[in-house]
Amino acid sequence: MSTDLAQHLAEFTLALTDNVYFGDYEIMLRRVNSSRISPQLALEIYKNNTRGARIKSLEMIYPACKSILGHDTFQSIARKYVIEDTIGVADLNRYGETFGQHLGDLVDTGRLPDEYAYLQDLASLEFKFHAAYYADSDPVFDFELLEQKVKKGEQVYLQLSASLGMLASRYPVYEIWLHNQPGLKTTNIGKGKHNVQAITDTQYLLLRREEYTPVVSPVSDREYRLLEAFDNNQSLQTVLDQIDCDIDAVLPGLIANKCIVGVKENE
Amino acid sequence: MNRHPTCLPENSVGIGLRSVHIERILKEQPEIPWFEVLMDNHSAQGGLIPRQLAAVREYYPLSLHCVGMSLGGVDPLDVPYLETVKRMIHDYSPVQVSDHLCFTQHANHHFNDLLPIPYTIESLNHVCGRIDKVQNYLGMRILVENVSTYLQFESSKMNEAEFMKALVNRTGCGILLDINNAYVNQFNHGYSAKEFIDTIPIDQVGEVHLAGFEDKTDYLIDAHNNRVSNPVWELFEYYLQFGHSASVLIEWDSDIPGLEVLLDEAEKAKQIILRHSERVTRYA
Repeated sequence: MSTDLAQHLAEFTLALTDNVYFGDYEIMLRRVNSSRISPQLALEIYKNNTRGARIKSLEMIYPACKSILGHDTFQSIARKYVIEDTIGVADLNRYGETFGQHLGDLVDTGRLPDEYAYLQDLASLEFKFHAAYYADSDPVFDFELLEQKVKKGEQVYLQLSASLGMLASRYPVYEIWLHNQPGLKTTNIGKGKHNVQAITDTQYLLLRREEYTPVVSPVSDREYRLLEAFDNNQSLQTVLDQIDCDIDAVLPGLIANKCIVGVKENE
Repeated sequence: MNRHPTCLPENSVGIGLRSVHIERILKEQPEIPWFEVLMDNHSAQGGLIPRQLAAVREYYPLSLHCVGMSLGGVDPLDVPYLETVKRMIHDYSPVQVSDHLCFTQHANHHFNDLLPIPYTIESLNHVCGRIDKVQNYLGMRILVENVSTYLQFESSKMNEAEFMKALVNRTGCGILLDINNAYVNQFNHGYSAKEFIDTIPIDQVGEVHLAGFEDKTDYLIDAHNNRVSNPVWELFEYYLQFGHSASVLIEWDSDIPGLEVLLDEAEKAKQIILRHSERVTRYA
């Protein structure tokens, strides 16, 4: 380990956080040369670069949330989120997975009105939609392997698409999302508004990539619970025993639309 | 066009491959000698991105540009990241691979920015060790790019150019000369960008970046969001006047304009290269 270098980098990066103790900040300032840019300004530039890149990612991943909150409010919330997030991720295409939780916390603590309670689920939808675009390709379903396992009486574990995301919401987030898409003509459902009430029946949504394009599709609670069970690594037999569902009616459709893409080993 | 060249065409001007242009590029196949691909934006293994990138590779040589090796960092090298680079080398056969003289993560915290290091003997030994490991792992030489900086460490014992010269001598890596960054550093820190160009081992420059900075009056920001700035063109002319060849990239990373604007900038660079190569030929 390079000790002096490590010390320099530790002090530098500590000075880039906002919760740095003044004494630590002073140590860093003494380590740098003044030029046209003062050390304080230099640190602000680096902070802004990091934050700017992350906020840009959030804007790209959460366009519907931004549309609903408005530019300034979204920027303000996003800025606070990125400042609090000191760890970050290397790949900005996958940044901000917990942003929805952050929005939920703001509602729970009264910093956003209760009317925005649906935003957490909407953000979750947007993140999964975005992630589906970047997901790995799926294998071609190996029906022979499935048949072999059934013949041998082995437990069968079904593999879900790498692009598959699932969301259950008490709010009509699908409609809200649809009507806050740039370029889409809208009706009056949830467009830039926050007077959304919880619905009686939970809305179940699947997000996945169809060839090259991410899609969102509402599904029945039966289909959702089935996929949820497979996602939780339950075997086909366990699912048959425990879930009240006509699997013969549901499973082929989930395989045909490539939500289920094969057979896997037990994890 | 040679679909599988081993180096970028000399005295050619490429542009960065941007998702908003790819459909048109594949449809019209404009005369662009090569593309630089930002590894971090094109590393997906499924969906549209790899399909499009493979299609572009069919017609154009690629230079793979990375931002996440953290060559100056002290965290262990990011093996999954390097695995991705290696996979992309395998899948797309880029002519060259590059990253920056900086660090991007520390203590598992990611900064999504190119952060400077002190230029000390200890840093030099450390960075040389990491470049050796990266080159061995990837099985090819990498180019290391000079970065724009907004501060300089008191403890530095050499300047950036001397540091890069030593890196090249000790590791056999090449240089990606970013003329915009050299100019931004000249303005911000008051040292000579021409001296920087004079000091680095110019024959080891495998790629040159030209870009636009953002003028904040008192200082410059390495913004890459507009046309190549005039002082950068002038410095490019200085680089060329000694007969240096160049595979030049018009670098534009945010507020991406239409393809015509990039091609227009590329044409301008091409004309400058042409003028200089004619002059050098006459002189010879």
